[in-house]
Amino acid sequence: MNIEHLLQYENSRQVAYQLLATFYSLPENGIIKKLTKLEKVLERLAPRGVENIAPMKSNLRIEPLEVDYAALFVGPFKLLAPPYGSIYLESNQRIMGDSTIDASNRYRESGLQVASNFKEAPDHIVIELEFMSFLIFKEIEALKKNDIEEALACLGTQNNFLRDHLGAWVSKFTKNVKENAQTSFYRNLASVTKLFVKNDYTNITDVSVATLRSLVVVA
Amino acid sequence: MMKKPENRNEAAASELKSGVSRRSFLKLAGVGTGATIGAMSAFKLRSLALAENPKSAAMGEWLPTTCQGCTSWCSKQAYVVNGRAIKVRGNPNSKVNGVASCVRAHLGVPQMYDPDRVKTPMKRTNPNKGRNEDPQFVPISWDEALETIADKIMELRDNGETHKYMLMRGRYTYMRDIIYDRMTKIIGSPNNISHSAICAEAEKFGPYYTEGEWTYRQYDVVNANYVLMWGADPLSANRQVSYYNSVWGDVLENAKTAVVDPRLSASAAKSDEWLPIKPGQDGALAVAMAHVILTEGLWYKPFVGDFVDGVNQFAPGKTVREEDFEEIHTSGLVKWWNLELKDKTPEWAAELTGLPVEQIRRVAIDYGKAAPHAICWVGGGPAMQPRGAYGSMATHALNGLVGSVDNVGGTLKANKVYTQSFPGYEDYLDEIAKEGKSHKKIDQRGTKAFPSLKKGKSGKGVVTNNAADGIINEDPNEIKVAIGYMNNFAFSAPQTERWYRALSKIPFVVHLTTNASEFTWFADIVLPATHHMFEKYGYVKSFANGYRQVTLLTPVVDRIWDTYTDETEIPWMLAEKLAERGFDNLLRHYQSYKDPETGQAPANAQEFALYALKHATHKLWDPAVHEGGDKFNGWEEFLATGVWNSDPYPFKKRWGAMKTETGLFEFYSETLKHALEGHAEKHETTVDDILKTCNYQARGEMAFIPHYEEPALAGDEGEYPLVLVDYKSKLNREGRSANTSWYQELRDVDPGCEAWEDVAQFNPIDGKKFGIQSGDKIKLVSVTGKLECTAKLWEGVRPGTVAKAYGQGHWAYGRIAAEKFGKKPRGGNNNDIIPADYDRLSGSSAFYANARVRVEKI
Repeated sequence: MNIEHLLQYENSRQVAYQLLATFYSLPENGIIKKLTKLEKVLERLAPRGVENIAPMKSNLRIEPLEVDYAALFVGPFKLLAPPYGSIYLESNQRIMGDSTIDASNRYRESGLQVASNFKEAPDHIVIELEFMSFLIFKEIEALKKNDIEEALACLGTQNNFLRDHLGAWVSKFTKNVKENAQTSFYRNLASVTKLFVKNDYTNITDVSVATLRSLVVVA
Repeated sequence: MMKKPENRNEAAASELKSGVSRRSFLKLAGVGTGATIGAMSAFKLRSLALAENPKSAAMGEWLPTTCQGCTSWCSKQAYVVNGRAIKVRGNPNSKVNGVASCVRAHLGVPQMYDPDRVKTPMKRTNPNKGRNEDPQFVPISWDEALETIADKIMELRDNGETHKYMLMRGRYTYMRDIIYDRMTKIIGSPNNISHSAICAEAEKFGPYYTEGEWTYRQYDVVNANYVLMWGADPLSANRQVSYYNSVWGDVLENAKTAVVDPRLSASAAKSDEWLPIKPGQDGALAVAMAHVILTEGLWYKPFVGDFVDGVNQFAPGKTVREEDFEEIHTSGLVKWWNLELKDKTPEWAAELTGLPVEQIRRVAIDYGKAAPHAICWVGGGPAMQPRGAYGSMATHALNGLVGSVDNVGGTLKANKVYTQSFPGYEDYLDEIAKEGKSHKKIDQRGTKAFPSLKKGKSGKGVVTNNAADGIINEDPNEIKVAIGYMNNFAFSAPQTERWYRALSKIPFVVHLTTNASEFTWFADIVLPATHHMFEKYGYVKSFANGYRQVTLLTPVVDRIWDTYTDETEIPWMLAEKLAERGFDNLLRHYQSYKDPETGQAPANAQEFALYALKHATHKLWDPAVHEGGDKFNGWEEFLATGVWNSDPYPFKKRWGAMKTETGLFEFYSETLKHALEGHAEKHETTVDDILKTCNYQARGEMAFIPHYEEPALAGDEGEYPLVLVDYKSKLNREGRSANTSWYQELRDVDPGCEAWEDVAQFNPIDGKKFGIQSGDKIKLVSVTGKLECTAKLWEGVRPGTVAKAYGQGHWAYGRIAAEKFGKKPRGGNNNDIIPADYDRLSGSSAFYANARVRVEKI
């Protein structure tokens, strides 16, 4: 893999996180287009996930999706798949736990905070997915400036964030989604999410870091 | 080539394209080496923005607020670190509760951080309503929600049907009048229905019709020599729990304490005497005690007076001539004796109450000897029963006999406060509103069968639970649009199934709430409300320890979700939508709530909430208009302190100047006579006919004195052999905390209860009789419903009764509260088996001594 290939690879990762974040937001029009885009990046990053895309596209109607989305991720009663890290990483079924504050501190260390018009707890799945895409973006920018140290630092931050946050609760979370979803869209989204995030956690070391180091050695 | 990493904040900042708000999303664009990559890497983040300096100290700070986990309304401080509330303690600036906290306050934190909270406005998509119809809510914007509500209200106004609008209030702060009173009236409806009658209105009946105060009391326990608690458990529930817990060690040292309760409550477990009375027989015990106090000559003469010749003529069975007794600060003692007390011996009471004669006599004598520092603490127990008005009077009258009313070591009213009401609304009532407001109320208060004699007037008090029947029967009219806030009548009012039907029948229901509940299940629109303790402005008044406080609720943390405040911000936002639709009276009224400091009218919901609070508490914090109590140098100092304390209690000030018809403490209530005659006259009948209609036993003069009435239990003794003893869990937060894990884990703080269980407690004698063992899954069945829970054999309940705490049995609250959400509750809700019956004179719902049950093993 040369630098151009690596850049394309990292870009796919960033797009994948970005698309997943939109799928965990309230469903809106344009899903098919985004699914096609996701399919494309999955081919490169997690080919086994491609088979989930067709069932996500079938029978797509906004209303049942909204009802399912609300029951899974919003409420107002028992949230079927709470999209908050602390629910899975801590024992007392609350939001705003110590792990939430830790997530928030990670954002701050990267110069970010939860946007004030995004009214959710800091360890909400959308924020964690978007944070990953931001870290990858920074990594890409560093790569483009040939700042290898910074790129490696970004990869380290990604690795640690997946290890301690998103990657640590994605299995339990997606299991809840799969078991409780009434629509094929969310059942398959759960599979894709788990597959991609788990793969990516391994690939940060096995692909991204390894490639980068080999390029540095070559240089 | 390796570059030195830049400062990360600067790096991020350099990526920000100009013109993008720091508070909204981040737009990121790559600097673009290869054309493909550069184009593809432009994207935006919706959930993250550039970091700003943290608002709250990383080291943490104590910020003032108020707990509304029960009606103690303690002034609190929350420890906030990094914008997160970690823990709470009593506000050391409070003279009422000081640093003390009860267990409930701590449950506020997990309640706020409950993942099942309502996070955004939602609308129902399933048009069918019912217990088995999942509402299928979907998120909507605040605009869509408010516009839908505004359209429904405008439809009523256009059709001259504003009386078909209804506002239901549960728990509240004193900002309540904005939504409860002003909004309802200006829209044009008489139907603002409060929760008060499912709280403890009957408890106020006795004090009002003896000493002219329609209020809860404070008890000067630290100066008392005897504290006799009637169906009250101050260590767990009832008012100012944190304060009473904090001084109870001293109380136990200095005073004798006794508890009248069929169940061994937390307070009973600590007391000198437990009187495990048969349910509903409190009145018998009270009049027998009065009999003993009088025959033994133990009444407090400086308050009550004495026989002219100084010789006690009160002897069992013997009437006394009125002219032989000269009263001082009381009225009607001899009438009371002759009509009721003379034959009410301890022997008579022993049979009814199931208590030993010796104990009745001993408690009466010890209590009398402790005069005037002898407290009868009247809780909901003897009052919130069918016919409870007279239980409330009989038990409270003992305070009059021993002269503890308004006295050191006695029973006190609230101290004076200087809060003020919101600006007048009359100018904003148009013709539609005036016509709408003139209709009769949906709870049928003031009708012949519901005198509801609050403060002496027919129909002045609410009959909360009867509103369900009013809605179902469209009597006096149908309800088309209803808003409920911080309430859950489908859970908290007896015979819940009626509320399921009533709410299903209303075409458009809105619920403003922090947590979706059984009530929400029937809503068309759900609006997410801020958490009272940590996220909003407001104030409440509470009293104990000889002081009254005005304590502020303040937003100590930023709101996590898209929530607004029920009593202030949401009415403002709705008023804006109504104004857009050509009806601006409500908005113009709200705009008259000006900031007392600047004279500015509010321009938005947040300013409105703040100015309204500053207006209401103006005289407390502005030294220029100060009238008494704590003094501050301005709003900021008051806000930082969080609490204003009154002047100390003026003891005995009301002796001879009570707000009764006679100005005296009335053992023969001219005040009640006046009220009952007024109600009878309104319905062109006699007082006796009213009493008969309302299911009281008294006739003639008996109606005006504290007296014994037999309990009115629903159900045949043969079929339903046990009497239900409902009580309130120490952890309840009024039924709103069951979705926190601490609530379930710590349920065994209530005597005889088990963690993660909802137990019905049986005396082992009854266990044997009915073949029940601890741990058995059982059903309790009454004439109106059934519930499932777990049996527990425990000596702390009177044989013949089954005790069970209220609080569990949620089927629609969240992950923890329900065993299988929407389907199977965790334990059972007592209100499913308590029939909708009333103490009709006060309008109160009966919770005690009205349900017979049978037990079935599952």
